[in-house]
Amino acid sequence: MTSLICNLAGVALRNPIIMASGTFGFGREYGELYDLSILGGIASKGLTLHPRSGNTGCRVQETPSGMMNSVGLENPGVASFLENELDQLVASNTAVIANLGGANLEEYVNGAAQISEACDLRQRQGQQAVDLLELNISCPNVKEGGIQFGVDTEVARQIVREVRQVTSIPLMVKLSPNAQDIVAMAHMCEQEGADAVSLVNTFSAMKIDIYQRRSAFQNSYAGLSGPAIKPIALRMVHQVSHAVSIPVVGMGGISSVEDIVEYIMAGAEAVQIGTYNFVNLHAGEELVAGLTAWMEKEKVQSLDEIRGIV
Amino acid sequence: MANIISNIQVAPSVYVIKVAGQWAGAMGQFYMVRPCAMQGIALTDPLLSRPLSIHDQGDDYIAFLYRVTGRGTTLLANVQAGQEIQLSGPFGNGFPIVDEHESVALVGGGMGVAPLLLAAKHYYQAEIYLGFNHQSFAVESFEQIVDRADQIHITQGQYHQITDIIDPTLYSVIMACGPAGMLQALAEKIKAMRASTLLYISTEKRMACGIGACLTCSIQTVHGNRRVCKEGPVFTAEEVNWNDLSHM
Repeated sequence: MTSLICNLAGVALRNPIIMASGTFGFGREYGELYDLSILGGIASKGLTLHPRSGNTGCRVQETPSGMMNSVGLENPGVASFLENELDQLVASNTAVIANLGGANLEEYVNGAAQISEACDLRQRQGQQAVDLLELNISCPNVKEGGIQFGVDTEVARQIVREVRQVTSIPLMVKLSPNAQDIVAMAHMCEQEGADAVSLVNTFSAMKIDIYQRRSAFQNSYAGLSGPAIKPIALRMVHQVSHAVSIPVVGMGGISSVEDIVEYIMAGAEAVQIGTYNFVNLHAGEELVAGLTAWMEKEKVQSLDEIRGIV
Repeated sequence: MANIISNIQVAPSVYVIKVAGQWAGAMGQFYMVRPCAMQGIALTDPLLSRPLSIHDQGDDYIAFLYRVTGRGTTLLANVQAGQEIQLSGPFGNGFPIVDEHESVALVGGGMGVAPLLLAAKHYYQAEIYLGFNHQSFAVESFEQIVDRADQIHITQGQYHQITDIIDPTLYSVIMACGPAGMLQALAEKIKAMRASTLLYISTEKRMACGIGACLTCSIQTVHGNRRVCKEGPVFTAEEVNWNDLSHM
C-alpha cells in the first residue's frame, strides 16, 4: 500500500505537497477550481502585523522559464487574517501554515504573538488552528536601511530567537537563497529552536527596461522564481538537509513529479509548489495524483525509502 | 486543449486567433492563453499564460485579437490552424449590462478595440468610436453587427485622437478600452464638459495567475487595492488612480 504521509515537525501531512506562500492567496481562488483537502498543506500569503498595500509600479516580469515579482507583501495584516481568512483555510481540511514577515523585530514578534494567542484560544474552544508558523526572514529591514534580515545569520538569529519565545506553534523558518551562508543560517535556526526550515525563497534579480533606461521595477530588484532556479535551489536543499537534523521543506521551480522526487531524494521531508501554480492552475491536484502514480509505478511504498538517498 | 480554426494577421503585428468550441464568457472578460503541454510536459518558456480579452464569440468558436509585442505573442502568432492551444477562463468582471434606455457609446483605442466587439454585439445600437495610431483593424467586424453604418466613427493617425471627436454629453454611459492616456483624456473631457456620463474603463496590467492569487496585477483605487484579474478588468473611471494605471 503506497503511503504519501509525511511528518513535518510533528504535524502529519497527507502528502508532501504544500502550496507555497504568495502563490496561493488564502486558498479561496484555487478552492473554486479543485478540492483543496487533497493537498499536503497550504502556506498563506505572507502576512505582516499591519496591512500592507505592497509595491507600486510593475510587479511582474518574465524571463526564460522564470518570473520576477515585486509584489511587496501586499496583505490584509495578521488581525484581518485571523478574523476573515483562517476559518475558511481551516475548513479546506489541509494543514494550515501561516507565513509571517515583518519590517522590524517588533513586527515579527508581535505578529507571531498575535497569531499564537488567537490559536491558543481556538484550541481551547476545540477549533483547529494554524498548524505551523512559517517565518519569512527575507523581508527588507526598514530600520537597518532596507537590508534583508535573511542575509546575515546573526541578524536573523535575533528574530528566530525572539519569535520562538512567544509561540509554541511549530516554527519553520523560510530561508533566503541570498543568505551569505545558507547552511550556517539553517544551523542557527536549529540552535534557536526552530522545528523546521523551508528553502528557498526567491533569488534577488533584475530586469532593465532598455527604452526607459531604468530598472523595470520601482524597487530596482525583484524576486526570481520558477523552473529557471530549480537546479540551484535543489543544491541548496541538498546541502542544508545534510547539515541539520530538523526537517527541511524544499522548494524552487518545481513543475513536475520528477522535480518533487529530486527534492525528496536530496533530503526534503516535504516540498512547496509556488510559481507552477500560475502556469498550471490545477498544479496541486495534478502533482498529488502524479506522485501517487509515480510511486506505484516505481514500487516505492513510502517516501522514507528514497528520502535523502543522494 | 482547444483546436485552432484560424490565426490570421489583420494589420502589421496584429492577429485574430479563432478557437473551436463552446466557450463561456461575457463582454470584457478574458481568458488565460498558453501553448499546450506536450505529452504532459509543461512548456515553461515563456512561463506565464497571456491574458487576452474575448474579442468575439459564437456557438462554436471564440476569438481573440492580439498584438505581437514579445516572446509569448510571437509564439502565439506562429501557431497554425489545426494545432492546439490551452485556454483557461473566462475570468474577471467585464462591462456592465445597463438599462436599455441609457444612451451608450463604446470607445476603443488601438488594441483596446479587442473587447469592444463583444460589447457591440450586446449594445448593437450604441455609437462606436475606434481610434488607431497606425493602420486600422477589426473595423469590418463592427460594421457587420451594427444597425446603421453611421454608428461607427473612426480616427486614424497620431494627430487625430478618438477622444477629440466624442461629445460625451450625448451619452449617459461610455465603455472604453485603450491606452491609459486615452482613458484619462476621456475622463478629463467628461469632467471638463460637466457631463453626467458614467465612464467604465477596461484596464490592463501584467499578471501571472489570472485568478486573483498572485497580486501582481493590483491597482490602486479609492476603495484600496483591487485586482485587475478579479475585481476588474472593468472599473469606473472615478475609482482608479491614473498615475498608477500608467504602469503596466
